[in-house]
Amino acid sequence: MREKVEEVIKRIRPMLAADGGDLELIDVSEDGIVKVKLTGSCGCCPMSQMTLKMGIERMLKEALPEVKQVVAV
Amino acid sequence: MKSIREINEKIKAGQAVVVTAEEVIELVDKKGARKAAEEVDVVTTGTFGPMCSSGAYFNIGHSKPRIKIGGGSCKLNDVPAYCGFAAVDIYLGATAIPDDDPRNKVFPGEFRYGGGHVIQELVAGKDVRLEASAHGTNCYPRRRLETYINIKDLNEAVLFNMRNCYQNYGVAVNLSDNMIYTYMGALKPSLGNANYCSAGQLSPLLKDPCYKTIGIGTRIFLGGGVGYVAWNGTQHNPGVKRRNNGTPVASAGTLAVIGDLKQMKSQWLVGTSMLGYGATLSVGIGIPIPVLNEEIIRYASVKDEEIYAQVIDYSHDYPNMTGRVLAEVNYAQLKSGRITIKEKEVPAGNLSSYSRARQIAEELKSWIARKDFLLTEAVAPLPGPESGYAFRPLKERPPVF
Repeated sequence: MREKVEEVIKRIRPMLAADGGDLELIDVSEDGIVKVKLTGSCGCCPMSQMTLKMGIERMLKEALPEVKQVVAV
Repeated sequence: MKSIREINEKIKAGQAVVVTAEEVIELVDKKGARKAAEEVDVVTTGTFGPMCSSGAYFNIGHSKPRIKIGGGSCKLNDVPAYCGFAAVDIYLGATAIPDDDPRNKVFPGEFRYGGGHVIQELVAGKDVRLEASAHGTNCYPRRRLETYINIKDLNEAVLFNMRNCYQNYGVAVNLSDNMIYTYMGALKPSLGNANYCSAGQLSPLLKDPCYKTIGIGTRIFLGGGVGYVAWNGTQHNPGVKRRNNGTPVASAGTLAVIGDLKQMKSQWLVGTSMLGYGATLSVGIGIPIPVLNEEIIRYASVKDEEIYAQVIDYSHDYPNMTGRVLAEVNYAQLKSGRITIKEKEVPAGNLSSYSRARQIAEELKSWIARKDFLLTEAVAPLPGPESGYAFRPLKERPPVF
């Protein structure tokens, strides 16, 4: 599962990089909770919550239905 | 001196020299304003960020039998639209949210779906569920309508935003001990972060700060299509303090803009959710600045280091309209990601996407280069810094019974 999540994150990463941001995958639990750390300009971006829920979580859920939630740590 | 007509002739001949608002900075630095003004014909600007006073109106066409939605009620994907018009004209505001949205009952609310999201879905070509009720008349007997609408079938779908493109904006911080959630994003306690919202040196009204070329009737890039400046925006406040380069140090000019939604792209009109605050629409706007003379290129070549914004406390000073300014910082400092306030280093983040603003300026440049976009003369100017036009607070009066 972690490998699959990493594959999707590879596709997301360039979108974040366009605004100087990045993310680091911290953990993928068996019950589908993905923990990420938003880094670069995402770390202090006012839109990071939206990026997390409407962008990263949505794309991960679309690609991997077993993902239930994405949380930032 | 050049005229817009002469510039348009050059565009039609494929000879116009077009540069972005970033590129012009280096050019003027290298060649000087006089030489650069001779060489350059158009400077393209761009901005992409949440702009709450946005919305769209639609004429949905008449059903059989007819219904007079005007004076009744109407929802698009459960989001209420305003229908105080004729039978089938409706206006959907970007910040409207479904009646059953929990709002801030469980704080902070997520506001996952609102008018801005409906507009984005319509533009993307998705079907949107329409639900309307009416009182029924002899000529419009129907009282209920439930159907799906699609942008391609609407008679008119027009984006009409009454306030966009703010010329500069305050930098929001939080001096309190609690986390707060604002339209400027989440603000951590005790100066934990600073949020700003401008494309700075790419932003349209910061590159034509005294509205010498941008006016009513100016043709623009709007949401990925072609739009126009319809009027000054609401809360237009041109008389604020300005620096020698013409840029205001606080929120100043605004634009009301209009354009055919059918031409636009969902990439440039994005439904946006602000945690603990509400739903809105992020709008992409690009405005061409015709280089009519040296003065205009001088204004257009202002850089981030020369544009300042005021730092405002959103825990107390903003809600209570105290007018207190904690500091002034420039956009180069903001874009470095760290500013200093009250001797504390504070991380700074931008609600407005600079990379998207750059894409818009480049896109508009390519439209002009391809001869797909000609410039327009403004049919009337916007109220300028010396006009006396000002934004006033509400004079609240108790009701009389």
